[in-house]
Order: sequence, then C-alpha cells, then structure tokens
Amino acid sequence: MGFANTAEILKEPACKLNHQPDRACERPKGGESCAFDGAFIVLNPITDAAHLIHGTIACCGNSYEGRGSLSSGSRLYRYGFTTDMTEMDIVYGSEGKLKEGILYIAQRYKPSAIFVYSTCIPALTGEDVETVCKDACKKTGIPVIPVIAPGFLGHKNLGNRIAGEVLLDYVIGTRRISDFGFRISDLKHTINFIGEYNIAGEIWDILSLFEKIGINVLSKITGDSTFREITYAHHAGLNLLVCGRALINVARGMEERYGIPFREVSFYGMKNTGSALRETARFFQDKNIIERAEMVIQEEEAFTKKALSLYIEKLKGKRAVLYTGGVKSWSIISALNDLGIEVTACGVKKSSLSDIDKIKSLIGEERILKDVSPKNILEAIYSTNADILIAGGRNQYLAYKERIPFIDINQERHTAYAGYKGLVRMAEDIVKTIYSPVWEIAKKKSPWE
Amino acid sequence: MKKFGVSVNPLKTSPALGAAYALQGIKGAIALFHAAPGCTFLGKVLLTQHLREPVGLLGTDIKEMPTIMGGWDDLKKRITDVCEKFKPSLIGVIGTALAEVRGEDIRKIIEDCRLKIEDFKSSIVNSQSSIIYISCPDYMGGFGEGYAKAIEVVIENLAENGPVIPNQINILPCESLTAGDIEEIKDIISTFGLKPIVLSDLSLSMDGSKERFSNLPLDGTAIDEIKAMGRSSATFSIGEGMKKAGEILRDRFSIPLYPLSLPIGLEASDNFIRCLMEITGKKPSERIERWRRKFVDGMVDTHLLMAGKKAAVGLEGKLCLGISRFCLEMGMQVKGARGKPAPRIKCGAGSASMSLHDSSRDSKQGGQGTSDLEDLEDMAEGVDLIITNSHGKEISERLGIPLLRMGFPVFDRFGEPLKLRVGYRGSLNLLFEMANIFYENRFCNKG
Repeated sequence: MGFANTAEILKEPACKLNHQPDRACERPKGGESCAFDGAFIVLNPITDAAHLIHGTIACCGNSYEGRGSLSSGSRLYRYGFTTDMTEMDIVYGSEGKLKEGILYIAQRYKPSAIFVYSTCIPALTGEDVETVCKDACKKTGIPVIPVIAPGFLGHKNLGNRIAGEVLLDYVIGTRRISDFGFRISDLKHTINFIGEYNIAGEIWDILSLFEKIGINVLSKITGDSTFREITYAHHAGLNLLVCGRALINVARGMEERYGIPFREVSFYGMKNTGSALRETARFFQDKNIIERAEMVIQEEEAFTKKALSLYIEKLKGKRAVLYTGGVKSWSIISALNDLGIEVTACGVKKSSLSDIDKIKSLIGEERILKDVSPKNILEAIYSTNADILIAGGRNQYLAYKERIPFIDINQERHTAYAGYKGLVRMAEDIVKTIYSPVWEIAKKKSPWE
Repeated sequence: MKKFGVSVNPLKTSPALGAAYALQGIKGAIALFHAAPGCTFLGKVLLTQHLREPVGLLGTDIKEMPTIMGGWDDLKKRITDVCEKFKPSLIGVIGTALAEVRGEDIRKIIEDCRLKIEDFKSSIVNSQSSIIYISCPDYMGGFGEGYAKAIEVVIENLAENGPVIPNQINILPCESLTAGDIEEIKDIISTFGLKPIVLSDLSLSMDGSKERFSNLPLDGTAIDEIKAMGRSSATFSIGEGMKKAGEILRDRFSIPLYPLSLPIGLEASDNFIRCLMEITGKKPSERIERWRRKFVDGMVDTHLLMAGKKAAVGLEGKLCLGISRFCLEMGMQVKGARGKPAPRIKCGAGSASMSLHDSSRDSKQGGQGTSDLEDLEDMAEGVDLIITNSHGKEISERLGIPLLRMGFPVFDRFGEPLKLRVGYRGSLNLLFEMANIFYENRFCNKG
C-alpha cells in the first residue's frame, strides 16, 4: 500500500461525515501527533510481534514505552527496535541495513511477526521498504509487514487507518483457526474487539464480563493480543468497534470481505456498558445468552451501585470541564452523568462531526468548546465554576500549575476506567483529587506574605 | 550473533529534543520545531513526563506538500504567529531531519521574518524577539549534542562585547545536570564571591517553582544576562560536550575557558573546587570544607559494601563518564554502554584510572556499532546494579537486578529534575543512594 491510497483512506465510506459535501474524515489541525504515531499506537499492542521503526532516532527514541498498553503475555512489544538512520544511510540508502536488522531481530527474538514502520526520512529518500520486507519474509519464514506511515502524511487519525488497512491486507484472514487445532464448529457466540488497546489493563475488566455471559472473545484488535489471534479474526460472528472513528475501516473491511457485522459500543459508564453487553447478547439471538447478559448486568450494576455509594454523595453536583483525545467525549460524559457530575464545557477539537452532534445533544450547544488553547480551557473552568479538569496528560500540568483538580483520561493514563469496575475507579480518583487537602494547603499564605 | 543495522532499546533520544530542553532554561524562550507533527507531539510528551512541568515547544506540523515543495510559508506564518501570540524573548527554530534532508533554507526564512516583523512593529508589541536557527537533524548525534548545539547558537547570536565585569563568570552546564545540580553549583560558586551566569539555567525555570501556567519559561537565564556573557572574566564548561560553546566565548571575547568534567565523585569535585580557588585566589568556605569531610567519611563508611560490586552503566555521554569514574573511585567494577558513536568504557576492575577505547565490535562494524540497552542487558548478567534511564526497568525486571534511574528520560519517578548528584554534597547523596540499594539486598533470609 503506497501513498496513493491516502486520499481513499480519508474518504472512509462507513464514516457519516463523508456524505457531507467538502468534508472528508480528516481532523482539524494542530497539537496532535503524526501518522506514524497513529499507526504505531494501533499495531504496537500486538504483544509478541517485533515493531521495527525504520527512520532517524526521534521516531523510536523519543517514544518507545510511551504508550500505556499492557500485556498478559509477551513483553516483546515494549522493545524499541530502530534502524537509527545516520547521514550515510540517507546518502547511500539503508535498505541493506534494514534487511540485516530484520534478520537480526528474527533470529535473536523469534517474534511471531515483524512490523516495519517506514517513517518520514526513508519515505523522502525513496526507500523500497515493501520489497525489503518481502525478501526478508521469504528468508525468515515469518510475516514481515511494511507499514508505510511517514509522519508528514497527516495526523494520528490517518495513521490509525493506515494501520487498519495493514491489518486487513496482511494479517486478518491469513490463517484459519483449524490451522491451530480448533474446529470451526466449536466457535459459538464469538466476537472481536476492534480499537481497544488495553490501556492500563482496561480490556481485562471487560473480558471478564463477556466470559460470565458466555460470549467468547476470539481476537482483540489489538490490546493485549497475539499476532496469531488476529490472523484468524475473520471467524468471529460479530465485531465490536470500541474506539469509533479510529478503526472504522477495519470493521467495514471485515464486513465487506467476510460478512461480519459490526456494532459501535462504548464501555465507559454504567449505561454504556450495560447497553453494549445487551446489544451484543441480543445479536446472537440465543435466549440463554440474553438471559445471562441481563443477569450479569443486574449483578454488576448492583455491585457497582454499592461500591459507588462511598463516593456518590461527594460527587453530587460537581462540575467538570472535559477535553479528551482518543476516548470519545460523549461516552465519558455519559459515565460522568452516571456519577452525578455535570459537564460544564467540553473540548471538541479532536472529535468528529457526528461525535460533536452527540455531545451537543448531551450537554447543549453552548457548552461546546471549539478553541482548546490552554488559555481557553482555563477560562472555561473559571467561568463555569468547574471543580475538575478531565483531560489528557498534556494538560495535566496546566491544571496542576493553576491548582485545579485533574484526572488523566487519555492513552498515557495509569488507571483503567472502562467497565463497571473502571467506573468505580474513576469515581474514586475524582473524589481523591477534588477532596485532597493539598489544594487548601497550596492556597495558604507563606509566613512572609 | 552479529548485530548490524538495528538499535535495540536505544539509549539515544533525538538531538532536536535536546535543543528544546536547553531552551527551557532561558527566560521567555520558546522552541519551534520545523517538522512533521509527531516530532513535536512526541517530544513534548516526553519532556513533560520527565520534567513534570509545562514545556514550551511548538511545531510547524508540515505535511506532504511542504515536505516536497518546501515549507517556507508554514514556517514564516508560524514564526509570526508565535511572536504575536506569546511574545517570546527568543524563538529557537529547530531544523529537524525532515526539513534538513529536504534542504530547507531556514536561515533565509528567518531573515525574511525579521524583516516582516520590523514592518509590522506597531502590531507586534515585542518586535525584539530574537529568532535563532538551530540545525539539529536527527541523523546526527543525540540529546546531548542537540543541547550543546543550542547553547552554542544562543551564544553566537546573543553574546555581546563590552568592558569586562570582574567576578562575573559564565557557567555552561551540560544536559546531564539537573535543576538541583545547577543550583548547587551556583551556590558553591557564590561562596567564592563570584557572580555566575548559567546558560541555560534550568534551576530557575524547571524546578517546580512556577506558580501559574505559562507556555514559556517564566524564569531562567535572562536575555540581558546572555548578552553580558561576552563580558565575563571566565567561563566554566561542565561536561565534555560543552567545551565548544566555551571556545566560542574564548575566541570571540578572549574569555579564559576552564573545561571541567562533571563534578561527580571526589577527584572531579576536587578539580572543580581547585579551579575556583585558582581564579579567585580564595580558600573555600567552611561549609564546603565540611561537606568534603562528610563525603570522605561516607566513602569510608560504605567502602566495604561498595568494593567489588559490579555496575552496568547505560547513560548518554558525559553522565556515563562521570558515574563510571565515581563507581571506580569506590572500588566498584563498571561495565558501560553509551549512545553511539561514542567510545566505550573498559571494565576497569578496581583501578582508579579508566581507559576509554572502541570495543572490538565497534571497530569491526566500521565505527557503526550501536550502543544500546540490548548491549547493556547482554553485559549486565551477574552485575549488582544497573544504572540507566527509565527504559532500564524492563531489563531490571528480566534479570532481577536493582535499577538506579538517572539520565534522560526518567518518566517513572518523581523528583528526578531536583536530584542532586554533583559536588561533595551531591556525590554523598549518590553514594548513600547506591549503598542503600546494596544494603537492602545484603541480608536476606534463606529461601
């Protein structure tokens, strides 16, 4: 897949935005990461693969181990592999070097597959990464997969989709489940997750819910996954698209190629989680499953309400300003509403038009914050008397410097907020930050003032 | 198995990031990457995680078209926007690999911007923003080289000639010195009756003392101070890579240069104090004398625990040297790896002098040997301590060897920017920290 496809990737047919004139799925500008990072975020959680970054040092050196995806198995995905291009490599080309590097990794680390990311500089000098990968694949006998995602192509979202195309073209459907000693007839009520990256271990809380209901998760794309499980993802009965826009092309592609329908769901908050479980269960039209789902929802909600009782009084009537990145703002709004928190302003710079419509219907148009410069976020907090800022790590020190309570909701976060247990954790963290004695202490005058 | 073509768990971070880090210590300065969006975004995330402070780093976010056709307009527009919006005292335009490979004439663009800003003086309040160009392509060097480059360019562009100010001396700390280290060095120098100008002074801007949000450093080395650096009576460069910046001051303004290594450990700290005694003709204060006695006492107290212990040191450049010297002073054995293409440190089993050489593997590969954390892991089998940045955590867990974090980045510990490891006092801190790790693992019940 070369650059020519960029425009096509942007015109994702399953994305409603593209049916509006002059509005492709591309995001607004500024303050975001690049296509390489976007592709890396999607593919890196494949835990037993090696991720080799072909480029100068910044792409790997400044970012490896920077994402919060956790693994229950191999830790190979945390390794930073890079060709670390030098001046000589740029002048004389580094295809040979890249190939040697691939062979070295294959021999020493025995990965299930190697993803080779082509970044800005090799793209600019015109290296044929695809051919190198093909050759190396023959030589090593494992899949060596080119990911052509130079940062200058566009923003993170585009990179997400490039990675999605890579999954469709090179991974999904390349093996059959029977290759691994399972029978296809054994597969009952199976689903895949698409776009869930197991940040802070969120996937584990969700998996246990489906397990209780009796729905089998065949492949996780890609949080805490193995390369193998993604190769046979096409045997599943249903795809759950967890982080909407990012990997919609994978969901649509699998529907087209393998006839697997997909549902957009969210696991943030009690309501969202409940309806995600219910919808999934109903899809299989199995009375047993539907009943068990209802039972699990009932049990979990009762448990959650009990656990939340510690916090709910303290959270009642609290006001929050929200600015999320990868996680859909509207699903967090719903989670916050479950906790009795009012969202007084919501940054939408990273949201798509359909997301913005949903947010509008939840909190009203006047609370939409289009300009999310630090100054504007602060103004929104002060003018609406908000008690807390809920945003990504980059705004953490904006809040802390201004002595405003804060929790991190983006991909660098350390706490899992999805599912029922996640909601309780979120409540706990919000109470902890809002009611911390530190804010009073910080305001105290010093002896010499 | 011969390793070629790949660096595994690199020690290196990008030089552009090092340049941006340097600018964080200059009051009102802002770093502007001429780069694709990810360079700025990922760099900013890493700097923020390490410093735990808001960081002044913006980018031009160039896409396909400017990459191919040239990013003149993007850069011009961004520079004027930044001038208008932030009114910085200094804009450091940092050319990253993407712009440099294309061959963008950034100098010319900056020249144009200067003219344009002159034209619009009335609309832009601070038309005095200095705009400098720091070429830091990622294919040359690492964090330390970028840092040094930024300091060199700042001096070249801003330092001015004038009558010598007696007692004023320039301090050029390398990137390995934390805000805590710089503060200590300033304190020590002040006790000799000297007035130090530190470039760049992270101890004023990135020490957590900022009480409100700002994109720019609210404190740090002031532009006027940098201008006055041409009038100092001496320059101390601290850390091997900073010598060149000191040479610029020496060659242009005839300021005597005293190149020092990192004052970690007894010998290096003694050298630092000796140097100060030489130029002032004064004896150190009683406090410094006492700290030396305390440090030596600590060395004696801990020597049995430290002697013979093996440490694997994976740090970039100067810090690697400084820490290794310190370990050798204590009778430890050191195995080292540092960001390429620097030479390796030979295992100096117990000897106080240390030799540097290119390891055989490096030379076999025609000087292309990568020295990364994979190399460190390979040689760390059986050592007692691993000393490297936060990326060492996985290695430490795999091998079951304790980890002492330092260098860049340290993103999984609080307080790294304030850690004090230089001078007698700092060395004693470090000594106790290390010794306590060994202490912890000394008495274990069987089973």
